[in-house]
Amino acid sequence: MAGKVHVAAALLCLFLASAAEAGISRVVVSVDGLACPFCAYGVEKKLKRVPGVASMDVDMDGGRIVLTAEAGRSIDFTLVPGAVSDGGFTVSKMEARATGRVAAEGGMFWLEAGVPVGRLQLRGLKPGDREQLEDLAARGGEAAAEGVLEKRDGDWALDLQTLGEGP
Amino acid sequence: MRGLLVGLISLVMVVFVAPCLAHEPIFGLGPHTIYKGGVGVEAKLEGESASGGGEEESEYVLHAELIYGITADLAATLAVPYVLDRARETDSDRITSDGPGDVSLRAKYRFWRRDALGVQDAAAFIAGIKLPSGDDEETPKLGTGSTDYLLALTAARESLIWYYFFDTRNRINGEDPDGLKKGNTFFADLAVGIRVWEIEYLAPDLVVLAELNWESAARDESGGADVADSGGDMLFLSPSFFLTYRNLAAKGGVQLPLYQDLNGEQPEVDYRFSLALEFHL
Repeated sequence: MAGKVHVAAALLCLFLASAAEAGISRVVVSVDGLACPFCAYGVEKKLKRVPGVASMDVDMDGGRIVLTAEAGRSIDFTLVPGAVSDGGFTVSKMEARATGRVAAEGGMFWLEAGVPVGRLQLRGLKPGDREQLEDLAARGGEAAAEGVLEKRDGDWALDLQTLGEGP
Repeated sequence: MRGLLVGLISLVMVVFVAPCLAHEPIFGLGPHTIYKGGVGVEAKLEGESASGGGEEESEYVLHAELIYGITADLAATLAVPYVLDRARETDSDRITSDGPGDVSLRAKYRFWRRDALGVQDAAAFIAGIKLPSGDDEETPKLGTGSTDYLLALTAARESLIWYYFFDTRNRINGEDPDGLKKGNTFFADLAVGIRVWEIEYLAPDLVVLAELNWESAARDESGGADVADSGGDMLFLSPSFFLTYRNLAAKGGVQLPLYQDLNGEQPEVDYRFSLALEFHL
């Protein structure tokens, strides 16, 4: 009996650890119109209110804002375009680092990335990515992916730039 | 006498027509608003000195302004002036007054915006009203005694290095209780600015500007007749700056007259200045 409790507790810990690590840990927002730090302060105020955002780094020359997630949390990137718009500027692109369990369905691959969208479709696969994702999906493994976030046909997708195993 | 009083009243008008949010020209207007739900507070000291015809006039006004972002493209501003000192001096006499001036309300709507990497182009309409809250029984008057209106159109390009602003304004004046109607005034402003050092988000940021400010005032009317010693045209060259750090801005400038063609006998402007601190909550 004690042994079964220990196994159940270990499995629960493993599940919780995986769930805690799945998600969007970093978002790089390309913002058009950023021309003065005083004006950009409003965007900072808005983005700091996006759930999951712990800190941000603003690159004025490059027009980029890097959002870093709180430990164990996922950034709700779906709220980022509205926050930037309320700040008086325009999002031209969002890139993200996402981790999660890989799933295969209907010839496509998904990353179970937790909140806010549940899962991200993985697109723009390079040679070798498909085999790696098939392997991960078959054994329930996790992937860490970076790419451009896009919304297509109502689903959020990650146009892959890099793909690796594990969180 | 009336010409002198009219000259003093014209100083009051400076209060109504030189509002600004950073980044905007100090003596003109720009299309910049504040972020949605944002609150800005500003304390501004403005002054003017004028002389001519054996008289000297001066005024120093402290403004408190509250700015609110209704949306990212629509901002409202409440401006409350306090006249620290308004003076008229002749060889034989000096009269002064101080106290609350005329309160004004403004709304700015940014109806067009184009964002690109490191550049924002925008245009906005501005409408405002100045209420006769200042004491017009004081000598010199602290308020105009009239309700006046402001309509403006402004456009700008803000980039990582260069700034360009243009605005045109029309101040439409009402009639005071004595039947005096100040001449409506048309303004046109151009400004060019340059960022002094390379921009970094968490560092002080300095932009210096050169402004050209044109004012053309119609003659005042009293009892249906034009007042001879009123109205005229003025052109100013105005070096100005804005220095910001995070959500705090210090800004200021001086208006130096290049050209004045005033009707009749009126003191001419020697200089005007503005110095302000703005803080976004």
